[in-house]
Amino acid sequence: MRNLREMLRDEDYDGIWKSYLGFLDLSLDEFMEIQERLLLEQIDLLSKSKLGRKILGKKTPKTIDEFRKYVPLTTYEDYADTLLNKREEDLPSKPKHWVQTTWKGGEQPIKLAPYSEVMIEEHTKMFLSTLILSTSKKRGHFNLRNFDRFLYGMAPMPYLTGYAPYILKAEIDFEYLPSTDEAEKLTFRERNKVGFNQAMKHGADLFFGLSSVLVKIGEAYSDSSNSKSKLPVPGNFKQAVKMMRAWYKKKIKKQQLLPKDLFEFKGIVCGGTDSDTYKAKIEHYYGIAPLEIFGGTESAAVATETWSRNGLTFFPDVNFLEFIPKSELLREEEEMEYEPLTVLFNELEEGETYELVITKLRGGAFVRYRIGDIMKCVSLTNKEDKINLPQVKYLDRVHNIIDLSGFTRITKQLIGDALKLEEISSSTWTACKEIGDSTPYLNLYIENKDSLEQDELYSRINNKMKELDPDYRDVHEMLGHDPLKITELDVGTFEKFKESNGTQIPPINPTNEEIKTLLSFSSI
Amino acid sequence: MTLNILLLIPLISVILYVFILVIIITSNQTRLSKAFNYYIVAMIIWSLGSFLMKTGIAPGPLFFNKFILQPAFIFVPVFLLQFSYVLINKTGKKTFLKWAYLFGFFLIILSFTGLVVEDAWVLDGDFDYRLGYGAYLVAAVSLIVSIVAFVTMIKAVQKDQVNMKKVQLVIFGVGMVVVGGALNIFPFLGKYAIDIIFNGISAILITYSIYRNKFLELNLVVKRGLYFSLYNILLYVVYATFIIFTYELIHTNFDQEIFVTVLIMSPLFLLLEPIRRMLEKVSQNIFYRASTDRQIILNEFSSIISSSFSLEKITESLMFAIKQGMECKDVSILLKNTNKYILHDTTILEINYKGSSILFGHPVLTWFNEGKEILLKTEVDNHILFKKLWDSEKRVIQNMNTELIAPVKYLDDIIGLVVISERIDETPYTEQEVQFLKTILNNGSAIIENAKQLDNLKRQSITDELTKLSNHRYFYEQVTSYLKEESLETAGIAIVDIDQFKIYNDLYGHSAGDKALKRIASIIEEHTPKEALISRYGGEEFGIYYPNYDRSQMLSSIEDIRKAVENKFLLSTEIKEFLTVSVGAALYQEHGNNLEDIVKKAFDAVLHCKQSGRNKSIVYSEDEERKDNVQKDVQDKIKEAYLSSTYALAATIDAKDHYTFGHSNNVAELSVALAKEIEVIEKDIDTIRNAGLLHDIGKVGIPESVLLKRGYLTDQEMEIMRSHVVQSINIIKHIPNLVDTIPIIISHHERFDGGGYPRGISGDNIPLLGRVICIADSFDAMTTDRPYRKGLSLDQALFELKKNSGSQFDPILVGKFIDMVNNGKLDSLTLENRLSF
Repeated sequence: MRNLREMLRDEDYDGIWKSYLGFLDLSLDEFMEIQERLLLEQIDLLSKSKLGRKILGKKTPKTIDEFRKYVPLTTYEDYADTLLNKREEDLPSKPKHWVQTTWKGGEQPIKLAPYSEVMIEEHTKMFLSTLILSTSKKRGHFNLRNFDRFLYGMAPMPYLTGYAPYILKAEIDFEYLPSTDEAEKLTFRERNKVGFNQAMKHGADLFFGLSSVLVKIGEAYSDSSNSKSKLPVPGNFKQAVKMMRAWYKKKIKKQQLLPKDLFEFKGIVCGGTDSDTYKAKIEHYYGIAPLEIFGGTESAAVATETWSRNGLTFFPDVNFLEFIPKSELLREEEEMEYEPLTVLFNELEEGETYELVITKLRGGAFVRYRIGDIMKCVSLTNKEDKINLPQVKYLDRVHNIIDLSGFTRITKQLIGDALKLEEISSSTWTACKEIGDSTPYLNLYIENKDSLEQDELYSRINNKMKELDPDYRDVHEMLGHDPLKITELDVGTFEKFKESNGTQIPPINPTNEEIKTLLSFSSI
Repeated sequence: MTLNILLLIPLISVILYVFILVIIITSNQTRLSKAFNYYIVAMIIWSLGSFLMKTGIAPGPLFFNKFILQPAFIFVPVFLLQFSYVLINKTGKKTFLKWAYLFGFFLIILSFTGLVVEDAWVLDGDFDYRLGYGAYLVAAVSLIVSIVAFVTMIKAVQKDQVNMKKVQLVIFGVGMVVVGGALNIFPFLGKYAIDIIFNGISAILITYSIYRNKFLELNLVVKRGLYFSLYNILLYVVYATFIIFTYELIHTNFDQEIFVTVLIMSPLFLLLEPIRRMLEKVSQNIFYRASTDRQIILNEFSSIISSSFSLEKITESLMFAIKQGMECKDVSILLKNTNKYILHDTTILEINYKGSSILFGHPVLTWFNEGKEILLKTEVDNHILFKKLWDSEKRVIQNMNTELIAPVKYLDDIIGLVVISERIDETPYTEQEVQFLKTILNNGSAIIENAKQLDNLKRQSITDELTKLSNHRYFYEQVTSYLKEESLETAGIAIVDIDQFKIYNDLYGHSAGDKALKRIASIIEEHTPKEALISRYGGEEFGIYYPNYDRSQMLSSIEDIRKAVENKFLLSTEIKEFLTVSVGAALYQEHGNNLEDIVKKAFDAVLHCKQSGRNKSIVYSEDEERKDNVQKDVQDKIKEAYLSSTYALAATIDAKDHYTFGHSNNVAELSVALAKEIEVIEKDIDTIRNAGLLHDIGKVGIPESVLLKRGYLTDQEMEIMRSHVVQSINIIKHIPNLVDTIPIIISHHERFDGGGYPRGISGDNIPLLGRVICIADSFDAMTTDRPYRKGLSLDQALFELKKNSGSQFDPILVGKFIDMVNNGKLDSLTLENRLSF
């Protein structure tokens, strides 16, 4: 099979489109056929492995219905023993890489996910589909090419995004900024800086990063370029022209310089929580609207945006998709040990909110696995982009976690520990994510029973959380963003809430209504 | 202006290049053809400039040289370099090419200034020119660029980036451009348009190479048109050259009148006839290479298949014809079976036939069912339909080196698939070759279907319907003839006999028995070498013939089979699977010279296996037979010890709970009494005694918290408790001498009305002895004390039995049991723990 490099060299653009983005032309029935057929393959592979047999139970399901009826929903705990001990012989396929992520609220600090050769190939293909789409303005047309300069601001290996430059090498020749050899010697922050400087000098065609990081880089550049710092020496004629223009804008017109004055990106791909919030800022800084890719360590690439940026379209052959409707999630909260029911991709309803459940295809380990992502089905088709498949938007992590900028996941445990270790006497508090000035932050509502100074209260909690959670510290250090806000409440506010509502307010992610009610009991 | 040969060369060149351009433009546009277009256009302009220059027409030779010839001349090597880069698929930066373009533009400007050619003129029909200093720069740059193009290709060949065969003509062509260009530096040669001749030859070579190597594909109409055009042009060139040359020769030497010249020349045309024929052949060969050969292949194939009914021969001929006609590396044929397309024959040597099949519902079949005639590998790679391919399915396609798949259709039914690998020269298939494939498959489909039907009939007559193995008759005939006809030094016959198959059949019914037979047949097939012949010899016996096998090879082969069956059945977690096989073997020459004798010895060996505890594999040996007899006593003792430990184990169950102390023994006693009452055969009396003793042996696996729980059991606990039946079977199936108790033990909690467990069978479907033990078990349980209740009195117990007669118990047997109690027959039994009466 020819790879993208060869197809680009042969100028076989139609072939590339068919191969990488043909799924956008699928009908819902065709999509489901692919899903169902590949699930049967996965069941077959699972039934031949120890881990698979453990999850599937005594009876191997023969049909999709049996699979959904008899196989329970799973979480990482169900796999922890096998995966964290890297028991390769128990898996449905031999892993080539073990991809890592943090396990907030888990038994261990990390989670590991096995990726077989085939899974890596599939993931690479999906990632390339999104990259191609990011450079596309209409169906069948794109201008991704070999030797495009690729600036990327992602976590290093063994995190999933860190593998991107390495796995792409088998498919296409990009000029990475900085080169992978150079990047390996640098810290995350240095890498972004070096990459950005190289991009300014030679130009860049593609940009991939966590949305929050893209914004941070944009902000940092806008601030520094308007100080006394000099423009770098251009590395080619095109950049020289851009520098001249930038110089004219800065020195003569005395206007603020933005990254878009120096770059002409063909495409920008962004990912991570809060992407929706950051997209406008990214476009402001870089001049083109980014294209969101949705995925995760356990699931790999799951869905991509298309031209209209009006929702995510799922890839049909990476994961078998199931969705837990909101009503089932509520019932699960109310009834102990209730196993929520799922709906399939072709049963999604417009406007409904769901939790995503995936079964990794192509020999993956995860079966009916709850990643913990909440999505909303925004429409059943995308008329603008002529896609006849349900479109979703990624809303957030599941209810009991607050994800900040894709960097960290704040749990009840973390805040509780921070308060306890700092001996701040507050048995009741609540926290949620709020958006202010296109940037999400964590708002902690708390009664200041010790009558501490506001700054002291803030710094003690903030410092302790930084100490307890390095990822939370990274939000400060890497994004230069202070994500904590403390809202002090009158002593007794939570008690009043309880009296009025009958139950205590949830410590994590209360609804807007609940916050409003809570605030109504406090005079501060 | 006079028409002389020097003028003719560029004119012919223009025509030739236009011709080539038409070929390229009307073909499928690839990167290579696009790159070649530039080169050809430059050559057309160059030749046109040369022609116009030599005619001497206004505005004069210098004008045509400066503004038409020179720009094209300068850019020919540049385009050639670009073409060479595309040809070798050069990646990376092309800095040199950029510089070549830059220099090209600079040299054109230089040429406009008159520094390259200072003057050019036509005097008395002779063309001449005077070079300026710039000409040396043009020559140097052009030469360097051409040499780089030349070296680029040579290097690519050396590094194995491209195949020498593919580019040898191109390299030669480029070499000619280099030489031709270099010659221009000498005006005495340049005025004869030698460069144009060289370039013309070069263009022909490159065009031929592009076409020959399928760098581009021509459609049929264009191809036909081009064939006639090329033929006519070649003819025109040859005739024109001949006429001019002869005319000039006659005219200058003999000074004849024109009509005399014509008279002399006319007969000479006859001499050209062989040349004309040769030209026709050459043109035809270029465009219709092998087309006549394919017709011959088709004819030969048709004649072979029309005279043969053998499926093997037909498919073999088909593969041979396709391989020849399409010049492909490999061909595989898959034929439709009951649920899949199985690999019937292939030219690939290393392939797993069993693993190379295409199931119904496969996306490849969907593709053809949608009416498509051909499936290319690129479509498998790129088309969305094939996203649903399983990885194992992808591997099958890959293992057959698939480049192209075509269906064999008969009356709208896809009866087979032909899988073709890439061409020997690794170039793509042409439309003609695909057409040939379709034709040959169309011609052959009906014959293949007929042969398949015939083959099926033949196969059915020699195949056992259930297991699809050879039947006894075929085995007998074949092996007898092998032993007679082939001068074998040694060979072996093995008989595989399924142990306890009757019990299995009685227990699970004949349908399950058939399934087990099929599974064992397939296990035997899987573990038997290809050269062996397997047959279903009798009911639960299989015969295997191993050619050229000696004792040790035989032993290892039959042991493989025994182990495989043991693994799949006995050692599986399924309670049903207690089957094992006893395999006996005997050797040709050593144990007999005819089939009957050898088979008899093999059966003797099977008997030894059975006698020594089943699940054995033995090669017949007279010594062994003696040894077996000696060992029989020892084995009997082992068997006894085995049984004793099992009974001891059963006793521990009773001991676990003092309330049920002696229960197993009592059930055995009561069951034997009832069995005798209904007059079962003596062998069954032993069996039911054992069953009674062991019926609750599975309770060793039940947690004491459940087993000894006082009070009612929860649903979950009840579930655990009930699993003791399954656990009992799991233990007993490993003890060869007790396997016959399985049907009884598994039934002791079944109810006559079907409401029991574990199978929920009813009435006569419950084995008779199972129904007996059920009554004995219940009676003993009712009449002993339990933690939560006192034991029932004898009358109460009999009342309960009567009450549940027909629902829980077999009414006839209950009647017999009550009679037996009433007749005082219980008094003679040694019952233990009997407190309640």
